[in-house]
Amino acid sequence: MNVNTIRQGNAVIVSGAGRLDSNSSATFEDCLLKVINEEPAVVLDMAGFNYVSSAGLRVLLMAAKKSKAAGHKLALCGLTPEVRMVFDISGFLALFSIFANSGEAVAAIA
Amino acid sequence: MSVCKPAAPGEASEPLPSFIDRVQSLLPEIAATLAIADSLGRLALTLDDSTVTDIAKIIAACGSLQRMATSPGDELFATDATTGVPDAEVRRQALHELRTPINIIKGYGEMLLEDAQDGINTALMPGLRQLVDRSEHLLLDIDELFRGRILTTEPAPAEITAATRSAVGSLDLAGVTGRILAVDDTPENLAVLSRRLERLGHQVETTTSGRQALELLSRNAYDLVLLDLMMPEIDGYEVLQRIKSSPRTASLPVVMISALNETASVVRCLDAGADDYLPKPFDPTLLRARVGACLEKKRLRDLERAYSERLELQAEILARELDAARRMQQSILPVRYPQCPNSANSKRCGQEQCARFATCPGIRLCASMIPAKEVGGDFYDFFWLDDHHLGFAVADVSGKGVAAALFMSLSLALLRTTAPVSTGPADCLARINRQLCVDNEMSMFVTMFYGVYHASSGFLRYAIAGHSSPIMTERDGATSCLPRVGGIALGVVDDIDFGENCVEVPPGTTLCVYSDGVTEAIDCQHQEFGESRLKDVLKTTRGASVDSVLANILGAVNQFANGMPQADDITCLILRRANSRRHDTLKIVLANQLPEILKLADAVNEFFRGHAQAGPLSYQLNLALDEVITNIIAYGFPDHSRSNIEVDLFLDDNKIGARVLDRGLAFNPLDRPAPDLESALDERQLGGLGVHFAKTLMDEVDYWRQSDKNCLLLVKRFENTNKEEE
Repeated sequence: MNVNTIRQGNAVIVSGAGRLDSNSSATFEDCLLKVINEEPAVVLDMAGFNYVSSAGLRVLLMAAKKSKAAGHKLALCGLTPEVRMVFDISGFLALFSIFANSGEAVAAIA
Repeated sequence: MSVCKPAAPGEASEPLPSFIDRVQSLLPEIAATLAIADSLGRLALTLDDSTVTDIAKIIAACGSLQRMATSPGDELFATDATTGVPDAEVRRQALHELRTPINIIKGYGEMLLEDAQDGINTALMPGLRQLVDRSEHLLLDIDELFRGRILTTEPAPAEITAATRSAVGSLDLAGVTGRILAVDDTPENLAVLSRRLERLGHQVETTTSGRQALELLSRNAYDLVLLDLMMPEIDGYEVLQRIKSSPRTASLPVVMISALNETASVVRCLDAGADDYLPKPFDPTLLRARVGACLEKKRLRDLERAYSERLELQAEILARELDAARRMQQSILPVRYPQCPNSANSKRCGQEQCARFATCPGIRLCASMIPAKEVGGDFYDFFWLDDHHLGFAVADVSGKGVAAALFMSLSLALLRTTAPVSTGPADCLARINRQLCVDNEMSMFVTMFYGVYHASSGFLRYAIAGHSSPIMTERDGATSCLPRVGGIALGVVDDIDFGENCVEVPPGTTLCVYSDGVTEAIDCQHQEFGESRLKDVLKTTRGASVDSVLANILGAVNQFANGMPQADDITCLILRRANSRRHDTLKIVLANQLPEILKLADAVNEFFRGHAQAGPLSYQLNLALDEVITNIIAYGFPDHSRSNIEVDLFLDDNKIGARVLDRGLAFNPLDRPAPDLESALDERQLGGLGVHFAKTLMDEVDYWRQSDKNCLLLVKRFENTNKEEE
């Protein structure tokens, strides 16, 4: 899986493509946590992730905890209907600030 | 006299004068008897009234006898001037008349003599003894005079008497007394008879008419009837016939009194049901012996009848008990189709349909147990273990009848209590076996097939305890027996393990579970019905309803037996997975490596691609498969040993699903604790979400351990927008 980061104003937008599952979660965890540690405002654009399993959710939960511990901000955007459903049944919609697109997310946290 | 032809023995063709001569030859003897009677009468004048009355009767009888003998033509029969020859019947009657007063003389004389011997009126004794001797002589003379002419050649009564006297001498029948009806048209005879009988302790009623005798018999219960043969109006033979033809009195003993010592008449009466006969005059010993014997016979017959009535009553009670047991046994077996286990299904199949089929969509089931005796040792059963799993069984207890039925009840109760708490069929049978082995002193055992059918996927898990293997009949008529798995009958060896297998029952497939009463039914040549005939029936009825399949099997067995008695209980359970228009399956074999999940996802997507309803669900199925297989790889193979994981995908009219089989450690991912979905971020724990996904996204999830394999079942239903297949 590819993970890209681009800076937009004060925020960093992280995006990727493909499956976020037990096969890819370790790689993704390394990349995301590194950004979360370094950047005070991070937007994770999920539009390219067509599949997220519990392994992916685990990485997102770790990221949220680390972000909060560091006093940083994390926002999510671009959830596909399937991924939104996964968020829904895991109670994750309440844990994250979720926006329709990266523009709204950057405006909210930066 | 010269005109007469000599008479043939037994034939009465002697001319009248000769007959009269013979009768008149008795006159001197009669006169002597009368003289003795007269002298007794003079002595008796000083005695008590009853003795006087008795002697008066003796004197009267002597007078009557003298009149008869003096002019037999007037007294005994009207002389026929034309022929001068009376026929046999007239002569027989005449002899009867002649003997009657002698019998009275002898009877009263003997009674008074007995009294005298007992110390009453001892002065009369010599005279009475003479009187009795004379009367006996007279009877012998009559016998002698007419032997071979009117009478048959049977031994004279005196000879019989002597023989009987010695024979009955040792018999003690004194204790047997009863209520006796004596019938004789001669009142004097009756008086003598009843007094004799009363002396023996009997209760006696008398009548001189056959008609009145029948009347008394219809009202009262007697132990014995003494019946004179020759009576006016209704004779003894007719009374006897009526007694024997009425069910009320048919078994009543009847002793014929026959003044005429005539074999033909006596034989006729014995043929008509008389128990015995007594010749007149009564010999006291013979009378006592015959009456005693008849009463004893009656007493034994009554005892026997009471005993057989009691037996019949007991048999009837037992039959009722067995009938109640039979109905109870049939009533504890389920008779209705399995009801929809949950409300969702109930709604779906609709009220009317439930009333008709009362079955879960996807399952057709019916069963029957026909015991060989009133109650049987076979049983079948079916029940929902939960919303999706139908447990069903067919079992056969060793032996038949009541003992088997009791063991059957125990086995059925154990099955019903054990099945819901068992982890699967093999575990269930092992548990029942342990229970049945406890204190099984009668060494009873039961063979059983027990299956757990998963209604929506069609997967059947089963275990077999020494029972015949059920037959599967596919839609095209192909039949096969379910693969055998190890296991002997329950109740034999404590603590044994049972094998278990899991097969898919394809849509439209019929499962026939039966007891050996079906295949071992025999015809008149002692051939068995056999498995191949059963398969033939299943093949030809493959398209029919389950009821019809069952009826055809039972009908074929019955027709085969063709009247041969049913040797064993016959039990049959038919289960069919409802047909489905579409039924696709795909087996995918993965290595137990995480990257393989990608390969699986592609295959899943490909399998459901293009299917309007199932296609969109492949995402959820993939996610569920991903999560459970990730768990299996992590927890089932902690040593990272290489192994395969099998995934069977299926798609039919209204559901998709997968069965996952692995050979890892026994591990049920569904047992993992539910994750925390509510807490705030800080308290939120990692882990447990994956299994939660599988449980939430799927409509059904199920795990079981089968031999060395873990089996996991995932089912996702969809609304079929096309007409739903029933």
